Amino acid sequence: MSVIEQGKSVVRVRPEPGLVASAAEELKPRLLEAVRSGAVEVVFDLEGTDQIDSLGIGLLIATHNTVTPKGGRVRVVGTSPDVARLLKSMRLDRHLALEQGPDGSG
Amino acid sequence: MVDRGGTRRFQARIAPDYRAVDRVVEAVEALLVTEACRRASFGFRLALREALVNAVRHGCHRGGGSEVEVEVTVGPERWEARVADDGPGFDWKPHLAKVPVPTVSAGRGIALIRLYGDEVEFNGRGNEIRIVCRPEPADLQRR
Repeated sequence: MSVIEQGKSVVRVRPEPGLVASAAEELKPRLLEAVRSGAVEVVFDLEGTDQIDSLGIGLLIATHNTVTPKGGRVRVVGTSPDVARLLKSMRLDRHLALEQGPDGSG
Repeated sequence: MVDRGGTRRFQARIAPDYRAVDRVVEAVEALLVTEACRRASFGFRLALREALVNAVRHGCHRGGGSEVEVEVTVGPERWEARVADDGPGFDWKPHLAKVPVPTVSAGRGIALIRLYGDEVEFNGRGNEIRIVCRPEPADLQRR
C-alpha cells in the first residue's frame, strides 16, 4: 500500500508498487483530502521504483492542476533515469519539479 | 515456460483489476531479468502495462468486458506481448496521431505504447493489441 506522510502544508507520497494505475486509484481520494486540508506542496517520492504508467502520470498532472491555483506545486523526487527521461519526453518537466535525488538533489 | 531456442513464455487470463496488472508485470519482469538491462526492460514493461491498463479500464470497466488475456514471449532478440479483452473494442486509428497535452491528465496511453514499442498493431475491432520490442544488442548486457 502507498504511504502518505502529511505535514501542515506539505504531503509526501510514496506510491506502491510505483506511480501506476493501482496506486493512482488508491491515492487520488487521499490526496484530494490532503489538499482540502491545506496541503499546497505535494512530493511524489519514486525512489526505488521505475514502475510508471499513464494513470500515474495523470495523477501527477491532476495534482499539479489542483495545487497550482492555490500557489502550490508538485515535486517528483528520486526518479530513475528512465522515468526522468520519460517525463521529460512528455514535456512534463516544464510543469513539475523533477529531481533525481531522494531528497530533491541531483 | 522455456523452449529450446531459449524463448520464455508467459500466459494468463486476469480479472479487470489494476492489482492483477501489477502481478502480470512483475511476472514478466522476472522473465526479462536474464535478458535485459534495466533500460530495455523499462520500455517493454511500460508498454505491456499500458496495454493491460487500457484493456482493464476501457475494455472492461467502461466497455463491459469481463477479463483480459495476455501472452508474452521473450526471446533473445525479440519480445512480444499480446493483450486482448472481451469488451466491444474501440476505433483506435484517430488515437495514433494524437500528441498528449502536458497539462491534461488523460490521453497518454497509446502514445506511451508507441513510444516504446517497435511494432504496435491493433486488431480491426480494437480489443486486441500486439506490441513488439527489439532491444538493441548494447541493451542486452546482463544486469
